[in-house]
Amino acid sequence: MPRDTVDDEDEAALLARYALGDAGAARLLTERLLPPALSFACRMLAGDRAEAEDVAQEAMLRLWRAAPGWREGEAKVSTWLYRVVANLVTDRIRSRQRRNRHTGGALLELGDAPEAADGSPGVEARLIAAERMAALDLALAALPGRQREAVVLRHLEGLSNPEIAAVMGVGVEAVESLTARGRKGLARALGPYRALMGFEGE
Amino acid sequence: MGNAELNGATLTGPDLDRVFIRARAGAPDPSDALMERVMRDALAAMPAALAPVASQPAMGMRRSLRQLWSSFSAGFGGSGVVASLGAVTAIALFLGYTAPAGIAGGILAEALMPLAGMADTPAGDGDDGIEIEPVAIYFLAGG
Repeated sequence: MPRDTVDDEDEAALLARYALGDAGAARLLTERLLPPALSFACRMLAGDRAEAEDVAQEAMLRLWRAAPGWREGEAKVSTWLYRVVANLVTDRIRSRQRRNRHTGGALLELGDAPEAADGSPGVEARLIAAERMAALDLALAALPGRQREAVVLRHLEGLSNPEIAAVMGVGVEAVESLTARGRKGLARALGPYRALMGFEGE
Repeated sequence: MGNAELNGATLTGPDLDRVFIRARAGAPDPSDALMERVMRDALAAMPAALAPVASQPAMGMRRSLRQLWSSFSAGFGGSGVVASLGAVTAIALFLGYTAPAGIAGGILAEALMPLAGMADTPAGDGDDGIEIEPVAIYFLAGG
């Protein structure tokens, strides 16, 4: 089902249908909400795919459990889900920090990148793309958490500033400030990787 | 990011936007396994999973009794058969409790006593009378 055929009001209606025992509604909600939840979690967790999947699954489970008491019009389903993902990510990062496992702050070492099994252009392109994504993930991980959240929601998830404000529980002005500072920090962090980004020839 | 600060190198705004565009294009898609896990959770947590069973008590009492009667009579071959069985049972109970004179010492007893007498006749004495088992005689005589 095309994702853009379901708007936010439909998500609330689908959740109500799910609460009444409609398994098809659960399928539609999963197809609609799981991809952004996973993407957001992945970027917030420095590209850790396995942990991001756990977070996305847990967030969806909380949505299923919240369905019976969901009051239509109180909150947008997608906004609510982003907030849950953000909270789960924060918990995981704090847990990591307690175990003294830092998630970011180190420069990407290109020598650590996986080597291509052969020299085919497709493999090389995928490796370059993976290295570029890894550089972005490390740069994002180096940002303060609130800035990272605002930048990811604005520039990678495509939310508007009022939507981000609703997710983060702050005003729109605070979102603008967090996003601007996050962009500056990210531009600085990615500066050394300008050649890797391949902008010179474009 | 000390190296970046030392080099004074930063990405320009448009370059940063291109980084974002590429990253959006490379956003991870949920695997089939993850979709399956999430759907399994959804079905397990579905609040109305037992709704059809839970809604039965709300059904009218008269409708429930009708359904119960239909199921019961179907097991005996239909409502007519059950009604006949009921009538026979009622007559048997009546006869058993009232012991009408016609059975205890009247018409039926008179009709059965000769048969009982024949039962006492030793077999093989040349008489062709009907043989009745003692137990059957006991029941037929109202004992």
